[in-house]
Amino acid sequence: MINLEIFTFKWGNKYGPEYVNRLYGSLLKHINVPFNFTCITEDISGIDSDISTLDHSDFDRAFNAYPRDRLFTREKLELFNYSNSEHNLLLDLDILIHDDITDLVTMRHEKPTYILNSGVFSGNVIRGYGQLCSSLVNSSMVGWSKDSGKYIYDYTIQNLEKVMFTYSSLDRYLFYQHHRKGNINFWSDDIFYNYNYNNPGHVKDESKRIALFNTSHASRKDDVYELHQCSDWAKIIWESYDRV
Amino acid sequence: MTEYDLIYEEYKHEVRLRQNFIIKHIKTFILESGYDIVSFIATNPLDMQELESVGISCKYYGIDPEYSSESKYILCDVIFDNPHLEGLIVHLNAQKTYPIGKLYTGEFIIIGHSKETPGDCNSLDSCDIIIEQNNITKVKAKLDLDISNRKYHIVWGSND
Repeated sequence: MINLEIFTFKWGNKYGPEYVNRLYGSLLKHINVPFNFTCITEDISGIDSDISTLDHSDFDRAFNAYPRDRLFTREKLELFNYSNSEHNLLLDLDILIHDDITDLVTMRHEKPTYILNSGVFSGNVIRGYGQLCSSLVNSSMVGWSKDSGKYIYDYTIQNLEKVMFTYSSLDRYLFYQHHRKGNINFWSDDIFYNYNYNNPGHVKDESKRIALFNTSHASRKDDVYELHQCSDWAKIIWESYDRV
Repeated sequence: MTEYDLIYEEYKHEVRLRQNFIIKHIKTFILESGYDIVSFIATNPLDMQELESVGISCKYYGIDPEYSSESKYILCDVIFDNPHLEGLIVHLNAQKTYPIGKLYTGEFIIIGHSKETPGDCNSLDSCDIIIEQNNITKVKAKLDLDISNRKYHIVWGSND
């Protein structure tokens, strides 16, 4: 039997419990092997009782001597230390899965696998590399097998002062220190698209399986929506994942 | 050329202008230091014919793949990759890195400015901050320069 652990983080009040519950509903629909789903949070209210929960504070213990705006979303790294199951997956809450992903969640990863921020940003990033401003790495969906992510966790802990000093964002750290050294892989580019930044925007891409929203990456603020603000096909699909 | 190509070329031109202005001011320091090897860090390769013509060997350390084919460019991050740096260490973008003087000992010329972009992690508002961060115990010179509405702070000194 396959051993598959899937995690998500929910902290603060940006996203309500419906994001956790509907993400779980989407996984039940689009993964056809058994799995455990765990939400790491400081507030379990409203979360479906079938979803396991862990205390968020346990996932920042190694980093909490530093302000929250250093290596933002650093808790994600702690998962490499916490879970060494055969198959592991981390998902952000602001994604919409609309096709089967069983093959993705059961594949083996020699290195942690991240989303490649392609399209509008990539050319700019490579040419402006020395400015250290951008990132090709997007950690909205991360896959790893057994202890394949442990090296990145250990390296971060060993270099914590330098890492925290240098990087305000986890994705930029991963790009400039780990993508540069070949420590991470990318998912294939036929899986993801961006609801807000694709051109044309807000259109469902039937050839792909997961829509990203990534409003916090916005270089513009107009015409950019979270899942709960959508009023189109995305809302219909998202709400269909409610478990009655 | 796309709109971004034009913006990028303009940016590179601006960087070269600023670098040339800074180099003009620190050349005297480099010549007076007496070192025959200079390690320039966090920069693209520079035109240093004037130094090389008097026997000073220049090496450039940075992580930008755009320059990886240049013979004197060593593709590495001096803060995280721990390369062996030789001679006088000249850091041209100290606002972008952890303080070099916390990791290396020797003689430095360190140049930086206040935070302007997300890539600037180390806001340097004065020469005194550079001196303190890098444990510079012997200051040979310090200088503030205004270039295109940006104030650069330059410290020449050692921490050994």
